[in-house]
Amino acid sequence: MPLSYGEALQYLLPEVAVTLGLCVVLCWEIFVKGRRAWDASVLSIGFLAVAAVLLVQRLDYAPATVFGMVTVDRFATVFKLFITSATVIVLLFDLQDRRALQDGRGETCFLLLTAVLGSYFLVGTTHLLLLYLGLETLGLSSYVLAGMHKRSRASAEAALKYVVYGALASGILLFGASLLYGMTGTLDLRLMAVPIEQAIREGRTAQIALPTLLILVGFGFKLSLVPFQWWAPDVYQGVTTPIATFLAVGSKGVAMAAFLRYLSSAYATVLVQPGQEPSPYLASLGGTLALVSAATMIFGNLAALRQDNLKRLLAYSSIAHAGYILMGVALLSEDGFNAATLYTFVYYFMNLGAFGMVIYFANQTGREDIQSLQGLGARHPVAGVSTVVFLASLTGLPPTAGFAGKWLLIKVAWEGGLHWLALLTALLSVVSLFYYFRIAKALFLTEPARDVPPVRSPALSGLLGLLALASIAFLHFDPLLQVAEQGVRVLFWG
Amino acid sequence: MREALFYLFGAGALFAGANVVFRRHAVPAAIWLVACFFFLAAEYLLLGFPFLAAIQVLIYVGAIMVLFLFVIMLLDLHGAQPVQAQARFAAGLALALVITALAAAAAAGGEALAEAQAPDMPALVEALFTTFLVPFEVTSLLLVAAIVGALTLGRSPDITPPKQRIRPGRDTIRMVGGAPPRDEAQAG
Repeated sequence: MPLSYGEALQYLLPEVAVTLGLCVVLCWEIFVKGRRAWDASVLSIGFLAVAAVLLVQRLDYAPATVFGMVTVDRFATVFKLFITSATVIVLLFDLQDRRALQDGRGETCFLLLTAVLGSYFLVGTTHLLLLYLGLETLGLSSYVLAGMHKRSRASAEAALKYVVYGALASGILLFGASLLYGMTGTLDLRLMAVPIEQAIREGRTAQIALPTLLILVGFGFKLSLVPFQWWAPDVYQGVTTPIATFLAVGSKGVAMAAFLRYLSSAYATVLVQPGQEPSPYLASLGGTLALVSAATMIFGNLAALRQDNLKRLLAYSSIAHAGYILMGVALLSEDGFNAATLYTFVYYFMNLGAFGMVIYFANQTGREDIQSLQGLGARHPVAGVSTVVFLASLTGLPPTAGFAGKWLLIKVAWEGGLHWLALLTALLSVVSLFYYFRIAKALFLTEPARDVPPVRSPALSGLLGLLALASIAFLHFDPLLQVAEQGVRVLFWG
Repeated sequence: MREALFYLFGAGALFAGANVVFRRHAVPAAIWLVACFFFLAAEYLLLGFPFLAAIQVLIYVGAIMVLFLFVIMLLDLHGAQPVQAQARFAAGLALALVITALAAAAAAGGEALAEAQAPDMPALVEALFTTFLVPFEVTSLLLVAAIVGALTLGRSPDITPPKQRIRPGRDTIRMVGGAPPRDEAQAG
């Protein structure tokens, strides 16, 4: 059913809203005299809020492909909401961060908006060309955001590392995509599914395996999977905390969504159905992903043990969590994708909270290491208790959403036959207890080193409290699970 | 004949590309890149895409590489020493060889695709503004983001922000070196 131009544009109104927003922010920065430092942030939050409202309206639209290659379905819309709300929270963090750069805030907002727009196209397409453009728009904005702190050597180093690794990874992904195009004659992943299935059936698996591997490298960089994770700790530590939050939560979440869509579209006809053995090719693909997942979670958890810098610790922790999520992906079944999607949502709440905690306590002390937290928990009850909730959730302890998400992942992995990986996850969660609770111990079980008058920031502690409440409330994760299931069902059944 | 020419130009492009990487100085490397682009343009011509070949020469060679050369010469990169890293070089070469071998193995099993037919200009333009409308527009946004990013990163951090931004007593600016901060309201 061909849509008229106007009808098709209806589907893209959120994209239009964000585009309009970034034009307004840019012109505001150039032309308006007497502007204040936070004007651009407020404008951006406003436009993102409009986009979010439009997105909520589009949740119930029937799946459609507009302009030939933009897919608007529940999965895409949910992840567009994910990145939009994450960016709003990042902008709020930026306003609350006392160490944030006052100069260049307009550029930061503009680049965050372009990153959001890139993410919209990244999660909302099965066409490799548009997918690549979305990935590049997100990546390019992130590289510049990483280098915004111009007087800091660490920031410059972070940006350079990020851009060099990123350029290499996107080049490799592009090579994989061009090989796929050469072998199947189309760039649309859904049309590719048939030639791919045929190639697998005829035993020409090398033709498919090589491009898949190359594309996996591209996504592996964005998701900071082992062995493409080297950039993450340096970059997170070098950039300002709000930007690190955006990279760890927003960028990683949408990259995971795009990866799920890539797998489910390109292998649409051969994915594992309930009660069925995977084909040998798919088994080896799943095995590769499972190995990467295991390596990623082992590396992330072990490296985090020795970290003193909070942002560096959270960087290794986010690597470990990417490994957990990948465990669900490695099953290559609907249940596995459900669990991975749900864990991505849970990851969103607890990591936004954890990075917010870093900003809150850095506002108090001006430092970012664990020792600086000594005894601050009693002085800042809301932020302190919220922090413990986030840490419990990151570890996967019972009264939090982290437990629910991890439980589902372990359960589906066990049922899907990945017993060793499920056991490894449980074991590594115990390991992670050590480093997460070093933070809690510093907050509550040590005497304050010196008496610093607390800096009140009710807005930030309120935001942290809300995120903590959400982390607890979603233990009963029915609504979140429903959203995840409905999204993934679209991926599998259209 | 056509096939022989195709492989000849392909080898030429590879040779020029290798020279771009291995030249010690930036200016010869850039000129080798120009050569590489010319070989690629010849490949496009042989494949039946004269428009793409012309665009390749006009835009990449004519505009982008000339700008590149200008920038390199303006920056005057005499002091920059190339890094000595044989191990990394060997690892990179090995990786390139492995990928090439795998790609060759993968391609060997498949049959050649039907020969692509050269599109005429109206068809090309129509595709650009219908089928590929969204990627076309997203590319323009990508370029705007790149321009803003380049300006942001390229701007000197020591330029004083516009006066109207500074509210005495509420905002503070950090001066690097030079005179201690004056009261901007009186100065302006």
